[in-house]
Amino acid sequence: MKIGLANATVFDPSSKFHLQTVDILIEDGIIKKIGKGLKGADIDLSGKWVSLGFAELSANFCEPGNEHKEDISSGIEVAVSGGFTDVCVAPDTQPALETKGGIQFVRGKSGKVSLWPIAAVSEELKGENLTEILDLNHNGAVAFSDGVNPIWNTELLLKALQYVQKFEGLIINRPKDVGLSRHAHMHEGAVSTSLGLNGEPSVSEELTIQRDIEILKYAGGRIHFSQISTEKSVDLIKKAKAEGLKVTCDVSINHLLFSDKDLETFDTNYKVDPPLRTSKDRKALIKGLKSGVIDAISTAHQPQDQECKDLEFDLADFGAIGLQTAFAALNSIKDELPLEVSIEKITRGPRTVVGLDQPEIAEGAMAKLAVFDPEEKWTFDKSNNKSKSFNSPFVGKELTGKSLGTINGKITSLEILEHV
Amino acid sequence: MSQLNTKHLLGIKDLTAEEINLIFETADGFKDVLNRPIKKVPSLRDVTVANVFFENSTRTRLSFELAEKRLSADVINFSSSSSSVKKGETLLDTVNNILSMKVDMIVMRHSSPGAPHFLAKHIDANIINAGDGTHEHPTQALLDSFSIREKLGDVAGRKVVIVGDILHSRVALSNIFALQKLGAEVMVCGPATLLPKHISSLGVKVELDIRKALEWCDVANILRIQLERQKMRYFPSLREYSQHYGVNKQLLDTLNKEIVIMHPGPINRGVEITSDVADSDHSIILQQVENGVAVRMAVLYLLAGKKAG
Repeated sequence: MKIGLANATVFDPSSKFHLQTVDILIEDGIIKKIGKGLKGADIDLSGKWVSLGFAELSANFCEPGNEHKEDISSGIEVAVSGGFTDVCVAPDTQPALETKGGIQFVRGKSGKVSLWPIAAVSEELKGENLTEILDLNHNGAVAFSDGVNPIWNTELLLKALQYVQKFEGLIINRPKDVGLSRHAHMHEGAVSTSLGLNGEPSVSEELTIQRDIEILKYAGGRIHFSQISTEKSVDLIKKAKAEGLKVTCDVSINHLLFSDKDLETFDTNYKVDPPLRTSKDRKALIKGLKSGVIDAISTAHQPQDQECKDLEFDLADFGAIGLQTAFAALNSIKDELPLEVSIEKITRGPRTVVGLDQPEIAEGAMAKLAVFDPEEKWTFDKSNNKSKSFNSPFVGKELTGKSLGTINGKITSLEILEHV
Repeated sequence: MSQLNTKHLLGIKDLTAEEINLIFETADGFKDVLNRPIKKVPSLRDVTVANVFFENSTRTRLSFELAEKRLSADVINFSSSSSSVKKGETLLDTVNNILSMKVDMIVMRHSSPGAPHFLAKHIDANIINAGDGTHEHPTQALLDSFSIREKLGDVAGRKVVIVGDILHSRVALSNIFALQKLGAEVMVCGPATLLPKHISSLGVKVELDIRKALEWCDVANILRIQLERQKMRYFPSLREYSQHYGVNKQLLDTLNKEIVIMHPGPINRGVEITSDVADSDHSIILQQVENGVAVRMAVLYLLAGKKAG
């Protein structure tokens, strides 16, 4: 199958075609030719951008167990609508992603979007016994984590870091101290004090990062910190990297845009985990991306249905969906965080962390592309929401910039490209 | 100013000093009414108020009910000790059921901070927050400031210390907001484990020594120590609390001045306050209760007018 894109502006800082307007011919999922005035380039993308397909480090697609919130099919549609060609699927489903069958099930659903299962590191995510890590890796698990549950058990963390060294595997932890975060509904600070809500102090995260770094020094291996949220976390990871430790980290888009002040109206769509921190932390996270300390950006896609969100604040569950609005969100902060950085951190960044092949916008490369209209204004509402859930801080907001579709190898999501 | 800018009373945070003073001036009028032989006025005739209490309360519920009845409102009461329902009938279901019976105003107490704010996003009726978890208790703060104003003539410039369990207290938070808006200086005093870590971000002074706090203040508002908290190891024993943070006559006698003693009730006599202090001339604890009715009448009256307007 042949596809010809015409007059597309390449947005890929690592490509020699960056910011050039070119035609791109794709045949059987491979980029055959890039140039000007190419024959067969019949899809006019004037004013549109073509970037590498976005990659998500950890999205929860809720299947099995909570298919009423999201399932893999709906999750794929959401991902495509956000410009994602690759998604690492979080293990905290019910039951957890911890068997060979579970891993194969997820991988078998790959299509418009390539799915990369992250397997549970502990049985039932309880932090007590290791899962069959070697078998899970053999069947395609790209990393091991307990999802939103922190690996609280230091003995298990140590053994996991040792055990995965056979295949240079990656352990992902959500840095959070169980004791210091118990009963917490937001960041502990001036805002939580004035709202009378129990907060999680920053030290909960920082303590765990310090702990894990010490364990990593002792055990060896590789660790990735998922969704760091504080200024000091950035400093700690910077130091660890300077010492040559194999440490990586990501930040969620929510933490780049919002702060605890956004919770002042008790809007549960801003109730996420880790909690939104202060604006000082937010700025430090942006700086951490620019300086290279933070390796990747995640949307932290975590669907929750109305019954779990439209509630009193302390009863509502954590999480927000984010795949569909990723580009618009990053576009909204481009003055603080240039798109050259943020797009790199959501395309190459996640792939480097989990060790996926790096696509390129180059002749002979596999086509993993996303098409964007950087100018399109749209309002995120129920009519255009692709997720089964609608728990987003962007509900009802006017956004600028929209994904128009993806090309993932041989699969072109043409139904979205049709209206170009 | 003759009316409030808001149709709900969710918290002191949302009020301006001007609005608080309007409530006080309105309450002055109602206090006069309450001292007449016929204590009832027709202001809220044909207005139905539901007192919806998801947490135990004696005095706040009684005070609201009395205020509503003095204003000739029709009153219904709903109490449920099992708040916090996630599955099954939710808060919104419960309140919508009550509203279907043509209720105009909701007075709600709930254990979740922000519960009345959540409700306000979904329903049309006026909502008065009668305490939401550890967040706010606006009418208590209004009646406290009203009582200080009555006793000392003015709130502005006064030094008020709030003593005790600040961490779990909606009374403390609402009092801090109200007193600051009215121009008072506020200090909190208690064991550090009962003071929110970031409390000074609200612009209050923090003092761990009760004697120093009392020496500083004009008014001491002493909060109830909730005995069940003791199990959670916020302090070692009631005995030690009462020795180091309890307000007793001996301690007050050593001060070179008289201070006003307040307590939102119910009192644990001999724990946070001794009887000889609670019952002394310096104490305005019973005046607070009396003023509570007038202040709540004022709030109900102004919000009902808001709806009609």
